[in-house]
Amino acid sequence: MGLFSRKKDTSSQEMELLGVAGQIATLKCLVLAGLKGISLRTTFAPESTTVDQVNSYQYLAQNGRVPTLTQGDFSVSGARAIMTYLDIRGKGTSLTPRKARVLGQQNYWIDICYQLLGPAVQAISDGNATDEDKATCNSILNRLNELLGENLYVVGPMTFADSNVAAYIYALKVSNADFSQYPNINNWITRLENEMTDVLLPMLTAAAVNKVA
Amino acid sequence: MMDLFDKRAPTSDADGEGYGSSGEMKKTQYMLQLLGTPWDPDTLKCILAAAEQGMELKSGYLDTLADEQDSEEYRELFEFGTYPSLKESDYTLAGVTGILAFINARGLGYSLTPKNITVAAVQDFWIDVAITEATPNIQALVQEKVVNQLKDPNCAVDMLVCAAAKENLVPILDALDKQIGDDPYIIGKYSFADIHWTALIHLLLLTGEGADLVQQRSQINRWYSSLATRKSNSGQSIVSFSLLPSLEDIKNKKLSYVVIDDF
Repeated sequence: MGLFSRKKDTSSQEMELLGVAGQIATLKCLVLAGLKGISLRTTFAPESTTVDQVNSYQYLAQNGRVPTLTQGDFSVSGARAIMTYLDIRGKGTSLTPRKARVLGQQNYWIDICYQLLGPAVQAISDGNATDEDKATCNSILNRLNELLGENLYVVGPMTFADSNVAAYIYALKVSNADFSQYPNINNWITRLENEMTDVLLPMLTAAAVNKVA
Repeated sequence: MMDLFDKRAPTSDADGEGYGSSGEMKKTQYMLQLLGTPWDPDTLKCILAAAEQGMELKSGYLDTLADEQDSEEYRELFEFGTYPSLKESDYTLAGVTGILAFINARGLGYSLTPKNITVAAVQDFWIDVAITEATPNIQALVQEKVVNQLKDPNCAVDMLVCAAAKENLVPILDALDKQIGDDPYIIGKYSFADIHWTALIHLLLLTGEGADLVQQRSQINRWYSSLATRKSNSGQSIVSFSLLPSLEDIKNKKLSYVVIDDF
């Protein structure tokens, strides 16, 4: 690079997301993009035989890792990395809490999602959930419903915990889970949707039901 | 009333000596208490992070071999039974992601999360590879070669499981080797990615199945060897790497404390 040359600024270039319809990792990215007011050009890979609801990314034979986000010459895969990128590129302040204890709670719920809710939702989505899977899911939803009766968002202020947890709720709703006993979760989802850009909401719905328009 | 943290990882010794007993306050206000197991990579990551960030920590064994994480006493603290778990004064937290972030925010060193957005995303990607792809295979080796023997010394090792895990690790470690390249650390500067991979490579080597996998990859070998003398992120003389357990420690279910002497 020459002395007076400037590094190319990619921040204004369009962001492209390659995901899988019905995949929780893709849903997490779309929810966060919606909350941060980011316009994402989203493409869904051809339907995979198995949608991985547990991990932050999965491999597809033709497409490599998904979800993958590309902006200019920068590309990164996996919900964790993509959400970090979208958070800073999007509108408003970062969703990372400044207080150590709130930060810890945010990540506690992200861990619960990956370790417990993911495998349970995978089993429910695949139609082979055991009583233990259903009990795990119900106990987590009960706790979330309690928390959301006290807080506007999962750990108080809006954080990454909200976009993470919301993705599983969308996936469960598609699997016809009954949320009538969780009114605070329903109200919270409505609050989140009110915060999202209008453009992304239909895409999010399409992604959740695994039928992309 | 004593909780499980105070029983297993007491902040004061039996004779009353220990942190804060002399009335002198150190820079870190509270002693951290950690519950976990020495063969759990997540527990080791928490110890590494505490040492890197200059947070004193007492650790105690959580008897997961006897499903203690499902006991009433533990579930009263953490309703879903996740571990490792941390206590600081009146605050408790479970799960490695939360604990690492908490220690990072409370500690003395510069943040382990990169400020540059693309570097931060690359860091998170390599953490993801560690969690998603390397951990299941390394845990399979740890289970076969270490944990099963703790449960039953006569338990036979399933060599097919070990061979499959090692084969799966080849492309993952090739990619990590390429990522490190000529840099001192995984994404250039020391970050959470190094903490995640340090714990995993250490356990891989302890299984006795990882020496060739690591030594055949010169950049991983160089990076890992350099950690043995690397002083902490917070500028203190403690070497976090020295707190990782030996095979003997694992057999004795022993975890290291983080003791900071040079405030």
